[in-house]
Amino acid sequence: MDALQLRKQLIEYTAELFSEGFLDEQFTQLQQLQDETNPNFVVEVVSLFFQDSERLLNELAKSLSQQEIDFKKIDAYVHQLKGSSSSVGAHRVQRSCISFRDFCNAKNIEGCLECLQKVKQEYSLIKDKLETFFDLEQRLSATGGSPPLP
Amino acid sequence: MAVVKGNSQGSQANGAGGNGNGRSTWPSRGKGYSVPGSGVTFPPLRNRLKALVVDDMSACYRYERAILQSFGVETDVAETGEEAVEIFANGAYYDLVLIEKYLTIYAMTGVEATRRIRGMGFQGKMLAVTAFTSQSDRFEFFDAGIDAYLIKPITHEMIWPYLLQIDNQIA
Repeated sequence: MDALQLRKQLIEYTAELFSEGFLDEQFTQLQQLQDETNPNFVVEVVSLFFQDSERLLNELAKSLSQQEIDFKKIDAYVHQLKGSSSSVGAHRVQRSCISFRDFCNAKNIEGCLECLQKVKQEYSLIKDKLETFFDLEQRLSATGGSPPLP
Repeated sequence: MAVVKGNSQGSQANGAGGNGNGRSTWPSRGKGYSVPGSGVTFPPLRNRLKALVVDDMSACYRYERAILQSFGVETDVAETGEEAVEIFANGAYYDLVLIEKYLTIYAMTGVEATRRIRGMGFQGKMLAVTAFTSQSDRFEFFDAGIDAYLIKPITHEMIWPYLLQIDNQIA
């Protein structure tokens, strides 16, 4: 595939990520912060989001499997996950944290367990999609093509 | 021992004057920041400001540091409330502190760290930058001494008025 085709594919794929609500305008903010002094900024921040999220999802699963559920701890983890996801524009992950927090405040274990599954699902989806996005960017760069402006 | 993650980028200033208190001033043609593709330009700050971001989510602090650095603000990071308090106890100076509520789970919260930092006499600007808002959260933070409460993610437009206020207050 040549640079022009790859560029078109990347533009279309990015538009899809926004129109389907996977990403919001915060992702554009990240792209705008990337420059020659910070050439890998978006990949760096997104990688950190992946690390943060995987740790938090493990902690949430552990906390929700305890005999005595510590809702204060769960609230804190959900808070942190919302913060991390909002910083990269992972809109659907962020939104699922809002419902999660509501169930946590209501001390509703079933609701929390459902929300955990939902947030894991949304995280898995956005991770795949962002990895595809970065792969397209890398392939475009390898052909000498320039990335579309955010 | 506090771990302070410093600037990963070099300064934007090209030589600096001083204003007598060890702070550098920008040259008269210092860089401002233009938001790409938006036509919005923020003029350069007159002074070289210093900020501390207190957050243990690496994506959050990496992003917030980049926003501040884009304005030329020298930015350090502390990942825990204890580190932030220790930094101030060791005599460090900052113009601005951005602080999250939840830091390491069951260790010092951002609210408690704010209270202790204010208790040490710090009078600079402190902004809560957090993921959720509730009346009780806001009350707790303001009671501890925060100046403003912002919801993540911060943007250039959100942070600029505070930087300008700080910059204008410096002689």
